[in-house]
Amino acid sequence: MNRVTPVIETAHQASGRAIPAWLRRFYEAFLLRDERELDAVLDERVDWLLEGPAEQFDHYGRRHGKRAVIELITRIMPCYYQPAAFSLDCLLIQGDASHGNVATRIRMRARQRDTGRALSLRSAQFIRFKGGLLTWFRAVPETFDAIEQMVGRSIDVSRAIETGPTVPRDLSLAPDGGAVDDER
Amino acid sequence: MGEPVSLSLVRTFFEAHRSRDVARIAPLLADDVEWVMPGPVGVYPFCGYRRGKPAVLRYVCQEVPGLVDVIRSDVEHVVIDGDTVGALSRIAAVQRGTGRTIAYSCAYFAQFGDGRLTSLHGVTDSFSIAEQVLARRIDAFGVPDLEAKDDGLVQL
Repeated sequence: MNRVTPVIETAHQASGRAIPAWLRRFYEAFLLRDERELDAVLDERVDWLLEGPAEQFDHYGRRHGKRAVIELITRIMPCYYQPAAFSLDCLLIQGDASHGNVATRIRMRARQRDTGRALSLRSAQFIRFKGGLLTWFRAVPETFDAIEQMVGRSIDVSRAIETGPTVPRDLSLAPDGGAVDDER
Repeated sequence: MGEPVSLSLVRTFFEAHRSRDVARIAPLLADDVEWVMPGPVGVYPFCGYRRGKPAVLRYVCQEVPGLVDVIRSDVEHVVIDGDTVGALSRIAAVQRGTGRTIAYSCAYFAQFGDGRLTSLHGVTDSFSIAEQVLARRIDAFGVPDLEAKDDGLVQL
């Protein structure tokens, strides 16, 4: 278990919204990799999906059940990085712990295990709670950026780009008949 | 936070967005609307930053349809809180020119004011999109294995 004090902060757009205790408890357990707390907040049959190239980074992908998710958070993710803090750029909540839906745009600050490099990983997370337990988790990370940070270099695919059809420039878009500014 | 956004406005917005119809979308955009989609712009021109109604209309109604034919756009999960909605969508599109189908998830965080969209921040699994657009696996750890042809482009 990580002994570092977890940092969970809200930024800009989320600043008007306090993080409710039931959500904070999950994020703290995640950052601390606290098996006991994770056991307490995760539903036995939690459905978890962290989108991304799981064939190259096995912390991505789908997990079913509490045991698999706890193993992911406490043993698999730390092989890549040690999470240190969450910063919530946007936090949306419907309901409460008994029956709640959460959507967050979040940045996780972490330290890469092998290199010590600082990482800042952005994602969108959608979470469902029922009966006080986390039952469903979907995360869409900004994976291209995340992987470039993890491998420590830019991934140059520019030579592989196939030029697509250009956008017609003569189409009027103004619904009121007015001219459209060409901002390109 | 501003005035709460209604579910009906959210539905109207996503239906208008799906239609790519300027006449339906324009009334739902604030004049200084921001549209942010992080990702590798060079690989996937959908990514990037647009500001202002003309730029966003051009993006939604010309640039995107010019590159792909979106055949499915299903909003699978929605969270509305005050003036902002978070939505998780599953999108399938056929790439013009190659005919390849790409499928990906996209999260949207859309803020509304006075019944119009004021900002939208998207998040996508952009690595997967890049692989699908290029029709090849990108080896994140290896030396780039792009085999340049004489014209400098890769054989796809």
